[in-house]
Amino acid sequence: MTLPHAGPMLEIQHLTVSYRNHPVLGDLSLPPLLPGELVALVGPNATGKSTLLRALAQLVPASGQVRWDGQDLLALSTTALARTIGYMPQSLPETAALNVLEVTLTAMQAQDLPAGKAQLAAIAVLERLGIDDLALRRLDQLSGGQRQVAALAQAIARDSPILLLDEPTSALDLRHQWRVMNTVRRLADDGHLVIAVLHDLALAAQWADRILVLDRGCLHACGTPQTALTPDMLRAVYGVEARVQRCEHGRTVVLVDGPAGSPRT
Amino acid sequence: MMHADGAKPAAAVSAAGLRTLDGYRRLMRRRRASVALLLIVALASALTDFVSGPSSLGLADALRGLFDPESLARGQRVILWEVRLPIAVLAILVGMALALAGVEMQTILGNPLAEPFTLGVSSSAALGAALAIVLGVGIPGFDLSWLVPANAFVFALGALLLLQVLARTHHAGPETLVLFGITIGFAAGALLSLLQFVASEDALQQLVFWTMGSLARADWPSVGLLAAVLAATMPFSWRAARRLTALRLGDDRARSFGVNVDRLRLWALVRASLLAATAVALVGTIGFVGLVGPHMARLLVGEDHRFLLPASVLCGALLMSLASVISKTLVPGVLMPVGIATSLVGLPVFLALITRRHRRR
Repeated sequence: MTLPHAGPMLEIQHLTVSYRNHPVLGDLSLPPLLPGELVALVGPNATGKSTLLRALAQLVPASGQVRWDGQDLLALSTTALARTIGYMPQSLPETAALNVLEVTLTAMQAQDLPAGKAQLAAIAVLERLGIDDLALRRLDQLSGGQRQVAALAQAIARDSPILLLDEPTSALDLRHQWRVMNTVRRLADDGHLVIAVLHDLALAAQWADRILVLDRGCLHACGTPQTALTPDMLRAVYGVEARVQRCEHGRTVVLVDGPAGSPRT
Repeated sequence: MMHADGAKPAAAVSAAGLRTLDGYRRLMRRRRASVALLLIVALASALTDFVSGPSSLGLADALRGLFDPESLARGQRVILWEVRLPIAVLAILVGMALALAGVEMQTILGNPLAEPFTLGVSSSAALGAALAIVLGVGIPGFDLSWLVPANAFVFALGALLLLQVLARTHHAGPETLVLFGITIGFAAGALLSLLQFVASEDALQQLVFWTMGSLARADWPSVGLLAAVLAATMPFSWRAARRLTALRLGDDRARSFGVNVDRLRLWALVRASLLAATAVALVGTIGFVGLVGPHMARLLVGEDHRFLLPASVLCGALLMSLASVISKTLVPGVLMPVGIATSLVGLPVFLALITRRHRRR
């Protein structure tokens, strides 16, 4: 990208997050992230992927600079932040006696819409995700996969320009996985900046514009799926010997042969 | 775009979506009707409370006395206006206060068992009352009739303040907060036992009566005081309803919806403290209402707090009013401590709720 970008972009510089004096993210700087991009955040367990999303959503104290559209995201008020960021946490609420539509409406309260308008907008969100038939079903009557799609509805309900999704497909079967990733892709195409933590590298390769590889709180690699997903990266970051194969239609498949240093099978 | 598949613009809603919306609006109407029905039943219970009692004042006389006090004999007038009416009204107000405190505590602590009892508020209030009754130690400047409630209030509020301080200094989450509450409750309970051990027989009896909870001391100043506290707190609870609903989905979600979770939790706890401390100070320790009222309401209207808060308040009022009726009528001629009656009413209701919930799973 040689041309300077005109519109808003997310700039993360020297972001540091510590938990009990133990740095989870140390001085993390990322290349600018742009609206319209679907960015996959990958890396082994406990490398700070969720922490990065939580820091951007002001859920953990962080220092450094995070700028969006000329604003300091780390200093934004809770209401202003809710209008800028949609966040989908990993865990799903289980016991609340609320139905899917109520939960979606609850997620929209920072917008201060009149009731009728808000209800229509909430239904539209559910239709977009293909769960409008679940609108009046209570959360505790949903399957894990349905709850996850309902959780995605809460994150996108405010139509905020930045969407942070923490493993949006972890509980989903293949059909729902495709449906959710397709929706997420369209949200990016509509001009949202979507940052999604994904464990499934094949999904990341299939849907993302860019892949950010985090390793122990630091950026290990950043680039298109083709440039970021390499056997060298997988050995260095995940500690595995793996082959990365490009199939027809440009799909990427990662085949793991064993722990790093083991002979190929 | 490679992945686009001809999506509709976001705001358009299909005919099926509009039907869903109609279903949602019907659900809201049903909930409003449930709340209205609760209001009617609670008022009917209060009326029953008002017309029942050991004296020979029948329904017709009592109602006539309510609208035209001069038509009654002096003795009857006193019974109606200085005994029955304050008791009936105070029962409703105490039920409202305990249930509102209970539902807010359950939501902000994410714990279905939270209520003034479980957080040590009631035991601390009892300890305060015991200090006044047994040792005559209390807040200076109050005469004896107000010394006990004033002491109970200060101790109940002190317990919740201590809870806040502990939570702040240890950065405690909701679970730890509940554990701190239980600890405070046990500590107060132990000290209460110590006071009971050294108390004179007379003081002991008074103390036992107080800890059972009773509406017998109901008078207009008590009614006015509790009504004032309710009037001062309820509007703020109502205003926080949508934020409280968000909290049911977890702190992270609520924050990302734009809710200042720490502030919400602090002020809800302040409101619940004021309500619980005042109610307990006026009528003694009363269990189950703060716990069962919100659970009944939850089953009736769900957890959208715009409905859950009023429904809880009314369920609490209804339970407490029924308990008041039972406390008068169970043993004819004897005014039983109402705390016993709330447990008698509350236990079967609670058991029914638990077993019903298990059947549904």
